[in-house]
Amino acid sequence: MKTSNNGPVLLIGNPNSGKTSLFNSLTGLNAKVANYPGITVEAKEGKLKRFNQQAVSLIDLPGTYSLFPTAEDEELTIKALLGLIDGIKEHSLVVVVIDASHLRRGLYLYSQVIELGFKAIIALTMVDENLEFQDMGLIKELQKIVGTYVLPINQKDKNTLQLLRSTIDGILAGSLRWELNELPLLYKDLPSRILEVFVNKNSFDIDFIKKAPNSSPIVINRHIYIYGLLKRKRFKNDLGDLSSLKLKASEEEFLDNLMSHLPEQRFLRVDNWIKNIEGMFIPKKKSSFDADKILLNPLFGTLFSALLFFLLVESLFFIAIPLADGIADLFSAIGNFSSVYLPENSLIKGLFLDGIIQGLGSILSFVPLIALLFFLLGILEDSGYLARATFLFDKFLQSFGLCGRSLMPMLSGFACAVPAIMATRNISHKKERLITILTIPFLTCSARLPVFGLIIGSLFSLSPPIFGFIDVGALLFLVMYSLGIFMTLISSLIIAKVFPSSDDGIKLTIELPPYRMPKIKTVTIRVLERVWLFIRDVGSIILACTIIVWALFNLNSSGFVVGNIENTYAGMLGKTIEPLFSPIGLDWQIALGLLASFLAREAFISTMAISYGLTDNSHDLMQAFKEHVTPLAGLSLLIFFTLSMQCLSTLATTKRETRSFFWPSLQFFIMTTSAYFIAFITYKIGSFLGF
Amino acid sequence: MTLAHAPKGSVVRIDCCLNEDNQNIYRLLEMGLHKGAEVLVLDKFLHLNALELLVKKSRLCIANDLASKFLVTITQE
Repeated sequence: MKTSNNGPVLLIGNPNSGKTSLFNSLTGLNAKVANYPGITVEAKEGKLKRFNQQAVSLIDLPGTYSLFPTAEDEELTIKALLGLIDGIKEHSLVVVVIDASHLRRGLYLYSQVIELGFKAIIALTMVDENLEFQDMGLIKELQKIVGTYVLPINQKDKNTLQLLRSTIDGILAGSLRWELNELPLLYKDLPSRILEVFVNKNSFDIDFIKKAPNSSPIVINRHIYIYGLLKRKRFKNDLGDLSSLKLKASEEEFLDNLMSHLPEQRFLRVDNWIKNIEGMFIPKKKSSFDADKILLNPLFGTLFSALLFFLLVESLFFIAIPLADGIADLFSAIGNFSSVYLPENSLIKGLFLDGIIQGLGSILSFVPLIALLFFLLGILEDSGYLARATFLFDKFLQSFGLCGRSLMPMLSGFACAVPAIMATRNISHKKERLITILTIPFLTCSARLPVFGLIIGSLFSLSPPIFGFIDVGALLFLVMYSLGIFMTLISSLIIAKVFPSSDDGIKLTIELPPYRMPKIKTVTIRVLERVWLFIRDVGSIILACTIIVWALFNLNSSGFVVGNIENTYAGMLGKTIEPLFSPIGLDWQIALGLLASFLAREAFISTMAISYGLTDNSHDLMQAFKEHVTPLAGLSLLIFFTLSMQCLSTLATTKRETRSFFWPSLQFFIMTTSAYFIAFITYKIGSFLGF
Repeated sequence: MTLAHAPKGSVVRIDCCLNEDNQNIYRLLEMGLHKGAEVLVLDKFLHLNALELLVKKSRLCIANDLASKFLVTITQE
């Protein structure tokens, strides 16, 4: 593959290497989140200004330790590098971002990049924490031995950023020469038969091989690399099949042996590179070690983590949810204010007030939740603490098919499933992320509570205490919360068993980064991106569905219906599906309420009030509910409402995050069938026992 | 002995690695647990079935079942 001077510049590096901070500094606030066909993880794309030339695209790719991926986000990085993604077929330069505190590991990745013949330079970050790298003598020495430009980056010193920008510009413009002194070879004494196969540029039908520079080491290195990828069952659809190489078993054995020695050879090369400058390093303070004596302690560390996460979720309840309610109220007030200018009882007024305004209100009411959750997660991630918490909870969650990084999204699910599902982006392994997305909505979110209040308050509040002291209402609340947690864990376990893993099974490997002060600018940019993506991608689906549901509840074949919900399409639908709900003790009016709660779970209450012909929806509704619903049917409804998928916004978010209709459909199916089944069993046992 | 059995505070040298085809094991090789590398066992977390290592000047936590795939020799108690 040739490198094009018009193609994008790729930013790659180890996780926590300061890559995204550097990207933000280089592109400012003009970057956007880039999506690629068939890939659910994202990269960030921005414009890098050049001198007297058109700006070049700069792409911030997910962090990776190696060019052999073990997770979906790493696959994106490698596909971009290999030119396997539409829109990034050819790149002009690779900037390898290396944390100066972890020079060896960063240089290992750089070594892999240049072995494949990519034009690469090094941006050395965290030099403000590693003062020796502010000595240009050391940098020049490093530059000489690694054979490319090494640019120390100090975020507080704009001159260092300017130097990086001008170096990129110079290489792209051709005014700065880029040429490796020596190309690292991956092999010694390759058997002649393999050599013959590996210099053939037609062995794989991909540009990465066909357009390789006319240098036999690069072509051979690329063949060995593709052999390694295909052996690990990666990118089979993009790269083809190993059978096209027609290798004998003994030749494959030779190559497997070669592959297993490559990491050692690369580290030897890296050690050789830095042996002359290592004496100039200043020993570091060990503050992270001291803090971890407490924070990784089995007792104190776990307690601290549990307390911290509890406080974070509480902050969603006490800060974000009141703000969300405030936004919904504001939109309601805007609707009421503007409604005086619209004709009474008209289709246009109904559509505007209950369709468009309510839809916009419900979309924007998610913003405080998403913003706060991602801000808190960003702080935890950037400080280095999230890696520790992940480590502490990984073993427990792995026993249910989840992983340590599922913890924070799961806990956030108690506030709202929408931001919680978005927060699963922190989970790099596809299977664990999918399981977390699919099962989070089982957890009892705050929107279920008003409905619990209505059902429990009207049907069970006057029940005599069990054993004389256990309040039935409080017990039912506790049982419903526990049922949600139980179903989350049990369904995670079942899904993990049913869907085979595409990799060799996730086993704990976590690098503990040093504790650092979080960069508020980086965190804030990430929050703004998430909010914008939600409004753009999920909001549009919510708005469209809100209008459709409004139409169902307000129209029939004769047109706009005023007052009588029974004659609307929704009323007809409620009566049609009543036979489905009667085995669990529910009538058409409750079926209608359940349909309406698809928009927002709280809508169940107002719909029940309308369907019972009430104007006031507090005390009168409780009384009417008590007259229409038996305690056993109420218990059945409570179970169904706890477990079923009753949230359009959640389904839209699942669709957005998985880029597929299959997974939200499966989520709907799993939740609704299990809800129906458990409610059915409960109702039948209750009926049998004479309740 | 395997890396999983190495005592806390010891420095060990990796002698060989079993099951290199497993991508999680190969990733560990690429993170510095290759043949001949010296590793300091910083801590052992029995309740988490994991251990913390200092590899190439970086701190790495790995599960014991992964560590058991590495045969090691203690070079410093």
